[in-house]
Amino acid sequence: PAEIYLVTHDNPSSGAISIFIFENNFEGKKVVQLEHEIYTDIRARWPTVRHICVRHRLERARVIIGISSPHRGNALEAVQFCIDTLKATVSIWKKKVYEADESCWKENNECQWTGQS
Amino acid sequence: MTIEVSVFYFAKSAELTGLKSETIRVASELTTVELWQDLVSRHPRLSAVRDSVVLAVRQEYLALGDVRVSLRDGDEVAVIPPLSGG
Repeated sequence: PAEIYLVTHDNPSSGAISIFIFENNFEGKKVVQLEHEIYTDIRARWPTVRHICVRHRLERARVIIGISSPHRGNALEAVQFCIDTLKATVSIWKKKVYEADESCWKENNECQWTGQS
Repeated sequence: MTIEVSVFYFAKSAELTGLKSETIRVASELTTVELWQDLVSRHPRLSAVRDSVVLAVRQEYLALGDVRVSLRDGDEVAVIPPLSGG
């Protein structure tokens, strides 16, 4: 995607690029406020971070997070922060359907109102 | 004073109510737990998820409790079960 290209090719001063990619299959609804809020928080905590890209694509069911910074420590920490925050705040729900009509809605441990059980 | 708001149900709460959304008339000033109780009075099966939901009022997450909200005509409220993005 165009945003990852920006992370990898527009950073002469960046010594490290941390890219986190994972895939799942799910169906759900999406409320998009993530990108703006994540960007503000990351730049506040890791000022050396240059570019940030977060894509949570429903059709391909893939999350891609790309962050560049002069050194790998900040990029890695910022990626960790991104995925933790995504799991705790983004309004996406995932339901797993098993055989025999069983199904259950997944609940992220990072979400503060996940029920105890 | 009462006003009309849109309520959106997601995930488990949508299954319990059988609805994705509805328009309801409620008091303009109330707490989040009072708003929740109003929804439960309309859809008793919602009580099953009382301990694992928050509400979103104008896209801001609010816990169920003594949190006071001021609602206006056309505001959006949503029932937010535990998230599973990522």
